[in-house]
Amino acid sequence: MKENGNATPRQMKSDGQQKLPVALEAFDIVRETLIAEAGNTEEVRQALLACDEWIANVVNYSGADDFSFICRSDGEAFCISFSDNGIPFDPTQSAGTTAEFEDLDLGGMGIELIRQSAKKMTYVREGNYNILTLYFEFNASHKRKKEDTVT
Amino acid sequence: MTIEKTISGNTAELKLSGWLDTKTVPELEAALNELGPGINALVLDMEHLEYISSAGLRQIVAAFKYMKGALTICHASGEIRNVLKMTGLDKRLKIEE
Repeated sequence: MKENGNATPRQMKSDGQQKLPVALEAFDIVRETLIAEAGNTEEVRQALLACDEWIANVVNYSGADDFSFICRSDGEAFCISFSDNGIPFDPTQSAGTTAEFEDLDLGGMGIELIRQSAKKMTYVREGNYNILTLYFEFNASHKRKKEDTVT
Repeated sequence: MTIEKTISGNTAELKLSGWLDTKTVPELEAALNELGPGINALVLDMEHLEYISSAGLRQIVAAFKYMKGALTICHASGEIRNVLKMTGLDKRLKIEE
């Protein structure tokens, strides 16, 4: 899979590829992992917003029975890749919602929130798997934290 | 997440704390469903709300419709306001400091 940027992202200390249940509890695992790694900051919560929306999409619509994620960081940015064997769905090709306000209780905001929360997202279909990678940037204070903690 | 409910006349105020996400949104839905038919205005105090996802936003839109527009959001952080802005909900919802 093609990676972002010039640097090869380094796997975070705290995790490798992690299996996720195809259930909303998957968000708890991703949340605990990211907060343990990077703290409960506004930037992390924004990253989690994108993850939350994708997890809900996979759980509710994909039909997948195999779901996992992995985080990587190069100290400047971090990326989160989700893999699922559900029906093919490329969110990068999904048009933003055209729903009227009164219809938004039925859905339509999730992909737009992913698009706006992540600096970049890439999608690839590998075999029977959707692989979505979301990219985020650290702020200066988090960069310092990474320099202090990642060897 | 925790929800503290106050009823004053025909107005209900729900103080939301914590994370309003896909997993916790049923708690808000239940709180809204418990409001009696005499309630015709709703205030959502988000001072202590840390996080909201589209699941929470959908529930807010549903409440807005149920209250026929008489829904006010107050004390939302910049972060929460930003999510409202990303989805365009800030243009239709009444948002107060």
